[in-house]
Amino acid sequence: MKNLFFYIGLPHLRLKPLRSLLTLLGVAFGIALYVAISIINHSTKNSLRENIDAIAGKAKLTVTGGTVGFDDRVLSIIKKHPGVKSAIPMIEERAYIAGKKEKSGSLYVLGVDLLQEQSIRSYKTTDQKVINDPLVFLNQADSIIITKQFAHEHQLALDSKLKLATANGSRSFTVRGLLEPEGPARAYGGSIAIMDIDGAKLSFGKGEKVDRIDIITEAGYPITEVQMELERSLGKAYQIETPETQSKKLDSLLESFQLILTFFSSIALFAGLFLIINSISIAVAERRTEIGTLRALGATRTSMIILFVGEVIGMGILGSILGCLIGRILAEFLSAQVVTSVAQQFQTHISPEKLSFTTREFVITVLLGTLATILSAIWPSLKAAQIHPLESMKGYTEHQVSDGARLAKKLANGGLIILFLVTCSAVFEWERYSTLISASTKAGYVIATALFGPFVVILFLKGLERIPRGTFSAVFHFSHENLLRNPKRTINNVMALLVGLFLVMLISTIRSSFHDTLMGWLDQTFISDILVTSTGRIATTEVQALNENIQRRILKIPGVRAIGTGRGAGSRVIRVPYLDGKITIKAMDRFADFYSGRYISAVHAEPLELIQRLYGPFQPSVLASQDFLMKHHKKEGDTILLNTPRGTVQFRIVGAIYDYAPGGVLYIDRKIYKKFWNDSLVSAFAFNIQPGHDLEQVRNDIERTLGKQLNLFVISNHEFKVQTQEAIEQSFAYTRAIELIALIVGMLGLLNTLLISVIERTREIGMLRAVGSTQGQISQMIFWESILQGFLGACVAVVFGIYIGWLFVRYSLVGSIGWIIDFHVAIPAILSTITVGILVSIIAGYYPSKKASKLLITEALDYE
Amino acid sequence: MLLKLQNVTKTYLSGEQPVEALKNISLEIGSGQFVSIMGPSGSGKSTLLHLMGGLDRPTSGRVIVNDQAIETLSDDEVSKFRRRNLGFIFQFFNLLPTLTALENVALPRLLENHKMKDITPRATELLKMMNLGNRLDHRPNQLSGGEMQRVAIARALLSKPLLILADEPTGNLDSKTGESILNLLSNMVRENGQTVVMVTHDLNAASYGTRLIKFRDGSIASDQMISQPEPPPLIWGNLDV
Repeated sequence: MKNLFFYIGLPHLRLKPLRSLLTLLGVAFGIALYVAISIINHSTKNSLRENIDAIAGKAKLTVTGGTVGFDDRVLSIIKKHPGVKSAIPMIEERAYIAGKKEKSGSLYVLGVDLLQEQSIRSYKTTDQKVINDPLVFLNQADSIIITKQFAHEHQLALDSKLKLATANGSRSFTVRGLLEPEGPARAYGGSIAIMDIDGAKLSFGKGEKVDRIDIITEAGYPITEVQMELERSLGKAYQIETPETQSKKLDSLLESFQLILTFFSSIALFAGLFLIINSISIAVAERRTEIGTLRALGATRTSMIILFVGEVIGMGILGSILGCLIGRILAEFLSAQVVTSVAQQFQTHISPEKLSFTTREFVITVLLGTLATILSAIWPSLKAAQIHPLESMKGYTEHQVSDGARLAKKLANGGLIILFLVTCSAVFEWERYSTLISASTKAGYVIATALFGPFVVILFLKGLERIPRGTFSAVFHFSHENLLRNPKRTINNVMALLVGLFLVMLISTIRSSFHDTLMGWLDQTFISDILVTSTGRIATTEVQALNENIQRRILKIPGVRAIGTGRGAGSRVIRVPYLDGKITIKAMDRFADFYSGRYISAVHAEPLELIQRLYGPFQPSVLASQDFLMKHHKKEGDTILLNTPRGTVQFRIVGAIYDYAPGGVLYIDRKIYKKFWNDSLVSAFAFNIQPGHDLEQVRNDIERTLGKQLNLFVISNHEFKVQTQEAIEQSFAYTRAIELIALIVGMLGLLNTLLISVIERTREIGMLRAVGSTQGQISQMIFWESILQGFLGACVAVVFGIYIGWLFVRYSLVGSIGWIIDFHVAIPAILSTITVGILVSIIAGYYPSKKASKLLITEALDYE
Repeated sequence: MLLKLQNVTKTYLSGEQPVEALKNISLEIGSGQFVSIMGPSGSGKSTLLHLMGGLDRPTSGRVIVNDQAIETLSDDEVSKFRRRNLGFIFQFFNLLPTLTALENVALPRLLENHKMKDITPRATELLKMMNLGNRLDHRPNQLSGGEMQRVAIARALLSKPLLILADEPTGNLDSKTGESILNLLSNMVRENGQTVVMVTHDLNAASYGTRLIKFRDGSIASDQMISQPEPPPLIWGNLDV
């Protein structure tokens, strides 16, 4: 077998360096994207875990109670509890640098009791005085400690002033210490600040609440026992977890998002592997006589399989190594986009700096990449083994042509069966039963497209036969006939490009469905003229919450009109734990009735009716988003239990609404919210502009009179929508890179097959030149073929992309992330996919067409 | 008897229509014969050659080569049998374009996993015998038609097969080169006692054989021995083709 590889296989690779290189690059790019996404997924999880571990310090258990925190009197209960050695309270708040609209200037403030901190978390500052003698720090109310990294990034030094947005406007703090990157300072990429707990409570409007209490247990007391006892005595309003459980919860939150990433990258990997299948299939067809000769000379079927598999092993190893290297670089490029998307969706901070790809992971990837390459080589190798020794004795052109037409039908039948199965899997939610079914369904989307697509292209080509001759140039008709005359070659070319273009259309469809649904929803629900918020990003509700009394001061400004019943409509958006995940609660002031409840997007009901129910006499009640109802198997009229700082409260679901915050959303009357959550802060105020007043003028007046003092920002209805649109775009920014890689793989595939088809047709091209075809005509012929295949491949990709996109949006997405998204087909996406298909085929067709036109007639005629 | 065909029938499907390529053929070929098979296109001569070489299986009947009924062997077994006992010469030479002349000759042994250095002396000797000693490292595209066919003959001789099957070996060569090749085959039979079965359209080529079998419509039309005059001793230097 060694002889076969060295004397037959290797020379083929060596004598066709361009083709070997194209195949190698196809594998490498396919693997690269997979590696990049794996690195990012892995590093994101690690980063989240690191945040949790770094903040937890020596704590064995942590008590939390949602975004708004819980009564600090709980601390004394916990401290008295048997098995609790010490319990340390903490305020954990995301703070924004005042005066900056964007969230890039944010950091996590840990409000701690420095006198107790050393027992649970260790800090190291450049000057240890502040840690060793915390009284100095505590005596100065404006003290803050930041990390060296944050100080460096924001040009801050010891005793510098740092202005942060607080609940009562902007406030200046003095940097009293710089933390070395150890302990909690490692969390959130170093965007950490330490404040005294009382100062933090005051600054962030926490009142008598804390966000978490970390517990160190007594030696000899099993942690689980202490945990269970605490759960019993504190009740369900509190979450008592080990750092490991917190990590696992975050992992599961990320899982669905990462699943989509993996899905996209798997398609790119599949496109790369498909290139291998395609490349070997073509090599088998091309070397039919050689295989027949070898078989006639006594080579066994098994040795033929080994020969072809052997040829790709080297390609698999090299491609995987190269893929790992490209993937590592790609991860750097993609991570910022993915991390932004994750941070936006899950409202947490992740530091992407530590992208890790260990030697072990590298070796495993190379092995798996090689294995995948080998597996993809098996089918065409089996086809090689089936070649009869008699092939050495006869020509095979005619046989190949008819075989190609049959093959297209066979593939289409296979594709149809797979399409039916994946449709069933999506519609009947088989995907929920096991990860394997889910993964197979997603792979099935691609395989069905790749198998069925070429048949549709052949049908298209047959349809083109009806175009009367003379409609287009003779070269065009000749190109069209060439494609039909050798369907097998056309199938290979189309398949190579189809997978890449399909991915582009699929991503575009999914992206436009998300975009149009969210923007449509926003148009319907966001009706106020302006929003007043603090620093941060209101589109993703990442803002510093404000004191609710601010609205009275804003209303005094000329031109500002109340939107609610006699006041500005404030809303508070928080994330709270619910069962094993987190949900969003939107607590809103009641709008005036004359707005007819337009600001709610109701499911199967009149918005006004739902508004009346929500603010009606039967309290406490909630409106629930449809994905929440579906995920938790609830319906209108059911009740749910929410853990509030006041204990577990039963809420009645009085209606279903559309809302797209992650994890499911509940709308609550803010009056009820304030009562149970003991939180009067407001995330944003909505106002209208009085008729006759200019929006810009009112905005300037608000910012001039209150803006600087209270760190307020005014954004218009239009700006808010633009910001939301940007947030959606940002969420999907990473998909652009995935599309690009898929296209590169597809283009490499098409270039490879086009080159082969030129070589295959050398004699035919020589004959055409001999009977008078000009170089330009030959070049045009190959070029037209390429464009026709690109265009038709793109058309099929559009059809399949839309259909699979529909399946994915309508069914799979609900199962994986729980969002109910309306399916939208973006016309620009269709046009851009077709344009990209043609462009890619032009790029891929350029070199082969030039090569074909420059063939010497005599050499071409002699070509064997 | 080296080769026996007993009541061999071969039926193909042409579309849905069965076509009987060989009709109940019985034939025996002894060692040291040079058998020429002639007949018009579609008469069954090539099919017969394929069955003899185990490249195809009979619909019914037996094909026995050197006491081995080859139709009973599995695909892998018949492949191994072929590479050890049979030599093939094709009309289009069927040399592997990526291999040198020497490697092409060595191919049957390479398939047996022998080391190249062990095969090289014999392969070189055969190529020298074919007057191709100065073409060892040439690839097929650097050789003339006659040279390529001589490389193919050297390859067929490598394993010292008892039976050499030649499918139109001169069909793609000019007459002078063709004659040299036929002289070469004829001498191989005479000097080494090997058996050659050659399918040809060319009566002149067929006349080099010691036996001529004519086929018509899948049956043997005639089978006759040809008395051969002593050929002139082969002077390799004359084989400048």
